[in-house]
Amino acid sequence: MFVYLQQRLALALPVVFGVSVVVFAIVHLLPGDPVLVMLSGANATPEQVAELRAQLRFEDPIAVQYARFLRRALVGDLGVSIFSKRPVIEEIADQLPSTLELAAAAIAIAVAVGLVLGILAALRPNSWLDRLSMLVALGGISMPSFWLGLLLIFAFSLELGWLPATGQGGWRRLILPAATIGLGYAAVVARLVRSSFLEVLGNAYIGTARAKGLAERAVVLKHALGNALIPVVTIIGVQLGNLLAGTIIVETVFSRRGMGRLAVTAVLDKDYPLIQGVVLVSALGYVLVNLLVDVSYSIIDPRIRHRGGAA
Amino acid sequence: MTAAVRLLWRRKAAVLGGAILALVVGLAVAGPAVTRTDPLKMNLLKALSPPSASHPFGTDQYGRDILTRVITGARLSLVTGLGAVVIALAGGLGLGLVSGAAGGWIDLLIMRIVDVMMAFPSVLLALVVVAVLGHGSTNVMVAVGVSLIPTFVRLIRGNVLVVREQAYIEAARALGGRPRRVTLQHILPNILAPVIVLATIAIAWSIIIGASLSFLGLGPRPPIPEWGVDLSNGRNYLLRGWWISAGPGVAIMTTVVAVNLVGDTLRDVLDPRLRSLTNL
Repeated sequence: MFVYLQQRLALALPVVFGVSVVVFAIVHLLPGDPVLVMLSGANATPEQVAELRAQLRFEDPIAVQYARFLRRALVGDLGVSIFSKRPVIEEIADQLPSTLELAAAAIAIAVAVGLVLGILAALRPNSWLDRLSMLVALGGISMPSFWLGLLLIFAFSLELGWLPATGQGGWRRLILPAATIGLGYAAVVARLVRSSFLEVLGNAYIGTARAKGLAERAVVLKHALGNALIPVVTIIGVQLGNLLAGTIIVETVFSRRGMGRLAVTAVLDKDYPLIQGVVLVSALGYVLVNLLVDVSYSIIDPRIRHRGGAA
Repeated sequence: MTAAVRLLWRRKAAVLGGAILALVVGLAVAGPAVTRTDPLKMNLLKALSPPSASHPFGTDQYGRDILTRVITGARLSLVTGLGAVVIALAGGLGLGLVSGAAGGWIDLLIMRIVDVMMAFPSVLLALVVVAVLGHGSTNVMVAVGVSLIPTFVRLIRGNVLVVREQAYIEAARALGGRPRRVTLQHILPNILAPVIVLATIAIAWSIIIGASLSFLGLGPRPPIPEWGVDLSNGRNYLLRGWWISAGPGVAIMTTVVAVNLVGDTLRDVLDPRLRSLTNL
């Protein structure tokens, strides 16, 4: 296990280095004078321009600038937001909990709905239930999240008045945004659970379980479910990145605080230190989560660990 | 390939998807020839009119005809989707073929770059590209295209690695074929099936990501008709004019469903192994 963890960490390190280079490069790839571009949205005075120029020291060799960027980032110094004048790390710390809450709720909805739809479809292949759940899944995959979000607001807030449309605080304000992201995912999970279940149900050990007289419920829950879930765990891990992308849009639709909304506002305001900070933290978070998912399914399915160890 | 076309034709879902796509593309190309009014023409007397015979999709808060805007907007939304896939395909083919065929340190270098790109979820990567290039429809297209390159590189490289071990490639090499010639004339044609499938399904992804960026205000500016822009415009009028968002919303969804129907069937016909990839 320890060897596997070491191997995965060794693979993640170059990626983390690459991410830091990309984030560092954002400001250097800007067309024209980067200081002027960075301040173009802020109506800056010449003094402010001079101050930022002195602060960023673009005249230094690029390697020196990168080393400085890395040294500061390692101790959590991601610069200061051009607009709010607050340290970027504080801005992020303010917004991160809201996004994590949204992501967790979305995953819960996705797994619950996706499992039920997928299993129902797999148990009666080619029945109307199967076709209906696959139709819902196709709809979910093809539905842009901002459009689904608006439909949910229209139905459950404006027409029925059951749930608040926007804002922060309490589970009632969490349901609609989480459902917007979660239902799209549920579609992916359902399709995967269906195909994985059908494959598992065709195995000889399922035939054996049935032959020894087990009730169908026991066959499904005890023998099929666990084995069918392995690819589902994988896909949830792979999809976490898209989930993060989902929060970018859904937080804007529902006017929720969070990393996604912070990223969009930063890009619209051309607040480059903030853009760099949000992108760095999001990408590193994604790398970390993928690492955890990899390790977690090596625990669920020991074959992965052994294969990794042998390689 | 003709067998594939025949098989596609036999599947109702693909025919339906193809027909819808043909209609959408036809309307986008014909554009002004089929619309009755100017998509930018305001008429405040008719502002927020619900769907009716004279305005089948209703009008927005400035009295502009939604149907006209949806048809005109199709052009920009489709061009963004298709353009992004062309960029992703070009980048993916270039890097994937070189990486898979050359091997060694070139392969290692390209794959590490792809790993880093993969560390950014596609919308975030697209956001980074827009942050550098600035707003606008062309930049959104480039951003979406760049964000899809890693997926194409991985698929193409993986297939090149399989094909290059085949006996006929060895034969081509033994006959003295130069690496570039072997790659382009012998490897490339044999990896096209999965690439076509991915490219088709990626059109659906690009339309959604492109419209998302426009919705967030990073794409073309109003009053330019574009599905994402128009959908965003209707956000504040959900109660008094739900139809403002409904027109472009239904247009995006119908087009994406149609592309997915064609793509799914193409995958089943051309390369069922891709099932795991296109399920995403």
